[in-house]
Parts: sequence; C-alpha cells; structure tokens
Amino acid sequence: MTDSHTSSELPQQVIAELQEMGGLQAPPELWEGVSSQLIADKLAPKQAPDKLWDGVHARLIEEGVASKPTRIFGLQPIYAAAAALLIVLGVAFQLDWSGSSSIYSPQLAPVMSDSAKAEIRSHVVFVEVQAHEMSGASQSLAAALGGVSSEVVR
Amino acid sequence: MTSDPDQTLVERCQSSSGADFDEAYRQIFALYQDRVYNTCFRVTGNANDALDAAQETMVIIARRISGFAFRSKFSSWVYRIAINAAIDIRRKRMGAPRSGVATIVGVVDGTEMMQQVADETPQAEPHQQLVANENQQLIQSALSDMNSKFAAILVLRYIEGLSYDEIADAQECTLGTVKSRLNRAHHSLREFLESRGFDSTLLT
Repeated sequence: MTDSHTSSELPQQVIAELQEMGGLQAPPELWEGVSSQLIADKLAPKQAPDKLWDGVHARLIEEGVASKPTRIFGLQPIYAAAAALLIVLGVAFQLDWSGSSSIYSPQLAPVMSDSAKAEIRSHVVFVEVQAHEMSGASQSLAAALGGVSSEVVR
Repeated sequence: MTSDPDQTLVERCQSSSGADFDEAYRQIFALYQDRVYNTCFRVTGNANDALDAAQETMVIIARRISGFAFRSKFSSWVYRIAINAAIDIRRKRMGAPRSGVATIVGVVDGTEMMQQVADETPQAEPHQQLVANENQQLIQSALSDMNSKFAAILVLRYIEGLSYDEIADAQECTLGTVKSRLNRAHHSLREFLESRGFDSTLLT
C-alpha cells in the first residue's frame, strides 16, 4: 500500500478540507503558561541526591564531629547479610536432615525394671494415695512415672 | 538518525544551561508552537483543552530534551508527546460537557447550535480561524467524535502532513498498524460525514 493509494480512499475534497485545517496559530497564552511553568521548575526545591549524606557524613568523620558507624562483626553490610543467610540455611538444613535421620532422633529412656523401681522407691518418702482419690489425669501421670497399680502410688 | 533538520538546535539545547538553554529552547518553542497547538486543538476539539495539552507538551519537551537520543526524528517525538497529551486530556474530559467548536454542528442547525455553544461556554471564545466553513466544522466534529487514535492519525497524516514512517514513529507502532488504523479512520470519517448531511457529491 502506498501513500497515494491510502489517500485515494478519502475523497479529494475531504482531504483538501483537512489540509486547510492546519493553519491555527498558538495563542500567546501558550508561551506565558509554559514559561511560568519552567520558571516554577527552576524555583522548585530540588530533592537532595542519595549521595549527599555519604559525603557530609564522611566529612564530619574527618573533622571528628561524627563517629564511624559501628558494624556488626566489623563486616560490610553485604557480608553480614550473606553470613546471616548462611546461618539460616544451615539451621534449616540441620533441622531437615535431623528429621530424616534416626541417628539424631531423641531416644526414649528404657523402661525400668521392677528391681530398679523398688530401689528408687526405697529412697523416696512416700504418701499412700488411693486410686479413687486421684483424678484421671493424675492417675495417668502416676502410671507414667512408674505407679505400681491403680491401688497404690508411691 | 543523521538527517534530522532539528539536530543542531536540539544539541544546542542539550549542551547548554541557564540563559543559553532558555534561548535555544525559545527557538524550539517558536518552531513548534503552532504545530503542537494545532495538533492538540484538532484532537481535543476545543481551545481550552488544546491550550492545556499544548502547554503540557512544551513543558515536557523542555524537561526531557536533554535525554533525547535521536532514535527518531525530533519532530516525531514532539508529535508523539502532543498526541499523547491531547488524548489524555480528551479522556479526562470524557463525560464532562464539551466546549468550543467541537460541539458546533453547523450544518444540522447552524444558528441554533452556535448559540447553544456560546451560552454554555461564554469564556471559550472561538478562535477567529476556527470559523472557517461548514465542511471544516463538520470534519472537526467528526474528529472530536471518533476514536481518539483515529482522530490523531488523520490529524498527523492530512493536517500536519506526516509521512507513514513519521506517523509510525510518532505513534510508536508499525507501518502496518499505521495503514490499517488510517483505513479505519477513513471509514469512520466517511460514516460521520454521510450521517450529518455532508455534501454527498464530495464523498464520491
């Protein structure tokens, strides 16, 4: 498609009318508005660049007015962040690994023999309590701690 | 792009500051103010919005000219900003009462419609050059009524006389899009003119 081809799709009279519509002159108010806006731009408070503080602070340190910023472990922030990330990853890995390994699973204490229980009981001041005097939870706890039966707990 | 006629002037703007910048920018302003205003007027359809859009355009040019890298013609860049500003204002005004010539549909009931516009917007005095002829008033009504992208492409092509390549640059689209959009704009303009009693012998 060429320029002339597309132009032919609009009647010549219409094109001629359109072409005559191009002679508008900008009103003087345009320059007034633009120039006042540009002046306002120049007068507007400028935002300080990020580096301003670095420069000022460095100079204050030189003059002894400000002290050097303390850094954790004396590291640059990027190294500190990397170290923290490694620690987090290490802990996460440890937890995950220990969960899947039986070596690090907590071992339950072996159930005591009757003779061992008797030995322990001999060293303990005991109070005899009837089973029916205890609540259900107390009975369970007593049994877990080696209570002989529902009749007597030492 | 090496053959930009505005390159020297733009580079002068880019390499200067203070009073030198003001002087260089003033030349660019003088060079483009009428084209920008005309483009904005034809797309927005009224003097007040055209002034707002043209002002926005010229301010943006001043603020961003230092970063212009001649990847397109400077004029295409200016038209792009102007068209965007005009379309933006036109969208914002959508739904609000129109003012200025856009509402003049003289051929339907010339006297009555002109009076109505004057009553609604006493402050929007029609520009002397706008009262051209009934055909142009009707075409302006069509531009104000149709899809803003169609209006923009008709303005760039026929009123501002841009080539297809320049339009593609100004509208940031492909040559194929320019052609198809222009065809649809033609169709839209024809339909409007036919429906409003435009001299049918001129449409054949």
